[in-house]
Amino acid sequence: MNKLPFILLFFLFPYSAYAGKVAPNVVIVLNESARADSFGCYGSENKTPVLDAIAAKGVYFRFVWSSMDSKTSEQMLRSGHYPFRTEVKTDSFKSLGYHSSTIEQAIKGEAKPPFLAIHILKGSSVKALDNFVEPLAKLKDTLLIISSLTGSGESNSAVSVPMVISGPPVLNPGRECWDLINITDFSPTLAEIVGRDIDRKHDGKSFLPSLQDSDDPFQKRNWIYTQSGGSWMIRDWENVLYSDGNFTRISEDNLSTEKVKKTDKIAPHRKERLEMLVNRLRDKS
Amino acid sequence: MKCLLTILILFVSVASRAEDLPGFLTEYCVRCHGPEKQKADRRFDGVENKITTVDQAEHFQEILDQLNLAEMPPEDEDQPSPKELAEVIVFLTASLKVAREQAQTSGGQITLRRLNRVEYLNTVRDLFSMWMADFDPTTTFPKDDSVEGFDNVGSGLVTSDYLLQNYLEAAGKVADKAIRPGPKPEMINMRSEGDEIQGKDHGNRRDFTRIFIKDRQPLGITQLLKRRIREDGEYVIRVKARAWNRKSRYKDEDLRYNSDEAMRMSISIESKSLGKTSHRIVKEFEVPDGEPTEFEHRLWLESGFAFQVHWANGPNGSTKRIMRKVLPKYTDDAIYPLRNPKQMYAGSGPELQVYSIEIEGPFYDEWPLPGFSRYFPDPPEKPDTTYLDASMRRLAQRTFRSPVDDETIAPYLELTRQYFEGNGDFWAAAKYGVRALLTSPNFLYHVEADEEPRSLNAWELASRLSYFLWSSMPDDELFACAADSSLLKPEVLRQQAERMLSDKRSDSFVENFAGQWLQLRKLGEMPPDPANHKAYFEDNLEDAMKKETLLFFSKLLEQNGSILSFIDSDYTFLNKALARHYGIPHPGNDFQKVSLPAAGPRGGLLGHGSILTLTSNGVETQPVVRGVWILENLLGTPPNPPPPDIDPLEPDTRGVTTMRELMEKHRENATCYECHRKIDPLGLGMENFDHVGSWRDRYQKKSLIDSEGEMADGTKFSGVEGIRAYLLDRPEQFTHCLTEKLMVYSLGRRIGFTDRDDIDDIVKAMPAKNYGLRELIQEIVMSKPFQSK
Amino acid sequence: MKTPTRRTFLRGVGVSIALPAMESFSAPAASTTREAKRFVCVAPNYGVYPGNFFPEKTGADYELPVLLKPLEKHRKDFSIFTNLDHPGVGGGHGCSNTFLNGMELKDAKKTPKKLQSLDHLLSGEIGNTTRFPLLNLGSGGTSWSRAGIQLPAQLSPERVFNQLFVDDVVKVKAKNRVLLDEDASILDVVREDAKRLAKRISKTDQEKLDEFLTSIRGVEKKLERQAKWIDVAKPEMNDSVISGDGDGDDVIVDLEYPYNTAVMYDLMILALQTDSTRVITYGHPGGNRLFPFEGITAGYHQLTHHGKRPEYLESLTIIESFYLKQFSRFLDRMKETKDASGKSLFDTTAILFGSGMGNAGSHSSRNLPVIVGGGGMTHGKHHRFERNGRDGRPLSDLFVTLLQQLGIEKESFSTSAGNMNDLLLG
Repeated sequence: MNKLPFILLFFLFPYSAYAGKVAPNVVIVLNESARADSFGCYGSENKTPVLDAIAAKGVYFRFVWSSMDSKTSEQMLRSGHYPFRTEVKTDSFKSLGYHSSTIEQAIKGEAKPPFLAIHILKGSSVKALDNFVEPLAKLKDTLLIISSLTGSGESNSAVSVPMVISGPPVLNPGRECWDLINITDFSPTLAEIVGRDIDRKHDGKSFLPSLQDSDDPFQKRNWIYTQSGGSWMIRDWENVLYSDGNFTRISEDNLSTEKVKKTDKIAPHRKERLEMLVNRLRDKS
Repeated sequence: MKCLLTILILFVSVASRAEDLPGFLTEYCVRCHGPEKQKADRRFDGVENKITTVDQAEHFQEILDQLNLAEMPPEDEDQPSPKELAEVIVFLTASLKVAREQAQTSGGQITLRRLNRVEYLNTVRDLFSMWMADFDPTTTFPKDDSVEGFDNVGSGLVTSDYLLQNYLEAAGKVADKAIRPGPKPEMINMRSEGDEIQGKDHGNRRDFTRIFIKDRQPLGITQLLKRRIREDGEYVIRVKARAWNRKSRYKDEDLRYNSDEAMRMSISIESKSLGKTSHRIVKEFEVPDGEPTEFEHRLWLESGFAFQVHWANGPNGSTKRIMRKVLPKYTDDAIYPLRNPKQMYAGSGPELQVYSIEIEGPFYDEWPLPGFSRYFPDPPEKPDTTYLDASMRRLAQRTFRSPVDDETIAPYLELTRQYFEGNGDFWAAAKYGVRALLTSPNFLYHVEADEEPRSLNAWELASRLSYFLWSSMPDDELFACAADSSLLKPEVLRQQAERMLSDKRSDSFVENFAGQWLQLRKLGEMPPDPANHKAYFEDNLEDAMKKETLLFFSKLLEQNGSILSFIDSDYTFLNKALARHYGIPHPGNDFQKVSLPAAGPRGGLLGHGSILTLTSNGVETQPVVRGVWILENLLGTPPNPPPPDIDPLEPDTRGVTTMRELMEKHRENATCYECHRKIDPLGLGMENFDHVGSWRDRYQKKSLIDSEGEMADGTKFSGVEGIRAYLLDRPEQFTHCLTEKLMVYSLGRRIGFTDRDDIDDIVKAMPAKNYGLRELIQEIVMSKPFQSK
Repeated sequence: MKTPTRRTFLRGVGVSIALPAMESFSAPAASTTREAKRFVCVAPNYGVYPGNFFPEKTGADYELPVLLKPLEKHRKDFSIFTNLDHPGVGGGHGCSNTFLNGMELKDAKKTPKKLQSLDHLLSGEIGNTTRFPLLNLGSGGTSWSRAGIQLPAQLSPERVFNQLFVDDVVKVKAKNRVLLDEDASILDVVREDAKRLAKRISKTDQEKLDEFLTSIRGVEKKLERQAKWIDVAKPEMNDSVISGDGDGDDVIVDLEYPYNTAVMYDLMILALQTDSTRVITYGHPGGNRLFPFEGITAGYHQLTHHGKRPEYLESLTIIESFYLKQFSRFLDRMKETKDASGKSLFDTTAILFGSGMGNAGSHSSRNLPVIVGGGGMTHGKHHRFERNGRDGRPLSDLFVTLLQQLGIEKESFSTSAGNMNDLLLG
């Protein structure tokens, strides 16, 4: 299999719509836990006017995976690596050249641009999150990422989190995006935005193409992975494979799962591919 | 039959030096089949030299068969010399041919002729001014048999109870379509946008739906596909689409696709109840790269139909194949040969992206429709029997194509009146009346009354003319000329024929006459092997070839061009694909008139791919078939069919043998050679055209093609050019041939010996008229046989 | 051109169904003293290559030629004949169509009823009590009515299935009844019209118009029969025979000619089993399709004009073996399947396989390939007859025996000169 042409293609057309521009400020706010469909923009009955407004001028994602415990999630977020790579402890945001900032500094305009502020909001109240981000939504030239460290419920629902993003470099705002995203992908995305080389050993993959409404699946993930302790899960758009060998189908609501139907002739193919991917991933460690 | 033969076949005399059949029989046959012995119950000592009875004809046939088969005389008996044998065979064959011809001719009289399927369809179309492209009530009709190569000859047009049952059904369908009273149908407007379009893809985009492959991913409006068109009428279809990623990372050969072509989108229509046969592409658009464009198409749709949108030139195969076999070549994340997720592909390759699909209608130029109000003008609020009678009379006059007397119409009026009185539904009764009229023999047959031959009356002449030139019933103007009898005046008749030839409906004449004279309908019966003839199928060369010939015919008809152009011409009609096939440069994509290079081989019918392909068998050329085709259709001297049970030539399997060497074997048997000396040189002279009409200088095994030859009359010639020159030297022979064919077609009967003089007169008149095709048709219209029953 | 995968078209569908007893609407058949009560004819349009078909030795222990190999397990249950043909029938493409009537159109112009074929004759005798007197399937051509009209055949398995097993809904039935009545009244009027017309036209025209009048009578009879059957429910049947058993998109029953042979045979079994008909003729289509088998390079028709070229003969043998294998499978299923009286369909059905084309290579009508099986007759032998000059033994002699075995006391048919009771009814 000759891969050379595609690597070449990638370099010829990097997603560098942003290259050469001034790096935007970045604010990342994460609830400790939130169901992936708990924001109003996902169709929930919860009143989240601010989050909905952010989604309306930005993008909201349907398929984002973190981990089932918030500690592991935060580790994945910071390191850009999956938990089985125990040796990696570094903060992957550090080398990006951002000025560290707190949320308060950012709101008051006291932070030196370009700044990066990451804040974890205790608790699981969506209402509280909505209130918290209200002042942030007004910041200019700021990439605002709102998500959660964990989901709620069992299995797929437990690791699925909401995510809304606004500000530069988002294109074609007001979209729902069905691309697959891992919580490890934040730092690679910022790296691409500021034009730093992406650490090739990274488990994350930049979702800048998704922010910019690229239609090219070759620039995006076709699977996501998560882990908590010794158990892991991997999925594509329709199915989830678990470390115990279990294999389920994701239901219409995108969160719960159900048995794979006997008549589903394609599922075995998906399973085999997920097995290949997870083996390859874990072989690298 | 017997009586006819005795009268007509008294003197069969054929010029031959060996006219002494009794002598021949005495010498070689009578010893075993004579007074002493009657082996196999046969006795030939009393056989005379001419055929006077059916029994004698049968003797002749039997003797001929035995000689042809070389069964007799037995090997251990005296054998006639090859020359003697040949002469006797010629004599017997010719005698029998004449006897047959005379027995078969109906003496110049037409037998009651039924409408054939095409005529039925066209007549119904014109009777009610209906749009028939997607409404064909005749699909289950049995095929009409051909006589003398044409399917409108009375003796071949049999009526069976199966057909009659079909007539009943068809009449019901037609009545339902034609009788449309009531208010103008309400307008509908249906629209699907983005990912609501039926045929949803797996991408995450909501503003369009993607098509990945050619033809097999139809998109439509869900609501319409479910509900279907309810009212026949004209509709407007709008589709907004864009061409995306025409050139992508995928190699064309992997996708089996041509990225150099602009994307094309097609609209097809199909009726659920009529099934696949009703599927038809109604429009194709070129979709430019870049921003989405809105396309619009206006068309007539029948109830029950719905439309769908396709990518006409997308990647071949299936999305499944792409996911399994193509995608894994381009990314490590996909496994060969599994069903990898479609989302991994969506957006990465070429796509036809459809943003919205819409339909609006029905629109009508006038309402009620003209085909309805012609018979039911200004229907009163509560129509009564008086109105019903009047309408039925109007219908009958048209349907029967002549004035209808009271006696004839009475039972039909009675039938509908009873129906109306029985259930009170006027329009149901009207439909019932239409059903009955369309099952009447006065509609189904060309009725020309009386026992004896006579001149046609004006109404009959009008129908004769319209079925000749339009394969349909007369229109208002022609009926008017019949009503005031002005059609019987030669100048009016001529002027009407002129008008009709210029009318669009004369396309039927081109299609049906040329299609059958030249045997174009055979095209496609023996297609070449798809694996080795990709272009033939992908470019639809079969249709293109047929179109070339029909356009050529149309042009001659339109411009009164010389019929000798059929033999040689400096132009033809080509589209890009066919021009490529011929190796001729072509300026555009579509069909247009193209001047031919002076020295090229393509001028005239003998260079047309259609003729060359239909005389081949899909694998190799068949010189015998080509030779026979020329004899039959250009020279008008068809050879006798080969005797039964003759083994065809077998190739020498040890090698060698070119086609020409193979055909030499025909010389070895005098019986064969008698006809093949006329057939083979013509066919072999055309060997430079292969089995799909491409030019070649050599055979596949590299041996050079030898197209030199000698005609049966000794004329030496070379190649197709030589054949053309030979034919052009005999313009009267070709004219005679074409005149006969036109005669058969226009009269719907065989030519009899009584027609010979009329045909000869026409042939003689043609040089002075520059052999114009229109003039030839006019001559036929003016001829006595055409104007007599 | 659609090229199905090898797998799909070879796939025959074994349908086993529980059947309601059918006697309820099968009136007692014409009093038969003989065993057979059904007739099936399978007619390959182009015949078969004689070189691969006729055995060398006569009697019971002949060696099976290539094409008969697939029939090995049935060899005791069929008879094969050499030198049968229809006297008076000439060669050419048309001879295929004379298989069941032994008569060429040209020889029967004045007496069209001479053209009536064996199956049509039988349908009038043993087919009167079933919904379909005669089921004419496949390419057609061999069946001729009493009026000398070539009967149309149904090539589409879906339509055959619908005809046999899909009941019209009540509304449609009621509507059909009304339509039948209406049609009948129209025919009355039209007949009147035609008779009046006949007075105005010439003698020859009247003869032509007679066709029309005869057709009216024919349609009236059909209408009566249809009216009778409207309210009788069709047998219920799962449509897996034509649609596959629904396990995904990879496995489809291919209904495209010519790969639908297996499906057609299955439908024939079902039709007989449900007593929907007792007379079936199935013609293997001709045409020039390219069969998607390994080693086939030219169209079917082209191959039949093999000129003894070895590579053509090889291809032809592949196609013809395919047909014979399918036929053998049909015999299997005829043996397995029981009718309402508990007898196997095989034992109660006279099965005729053959063609009016003796040798497609020369379009010969001599020495026709003919096999007869089942029907409670004596089988197992190869019979060779004398050939006197052009003619062998009349095939119609065999037909007379078949007629008698089917309970029709006729001493002659078409060009028969006797019968073969001594060989088959021993």
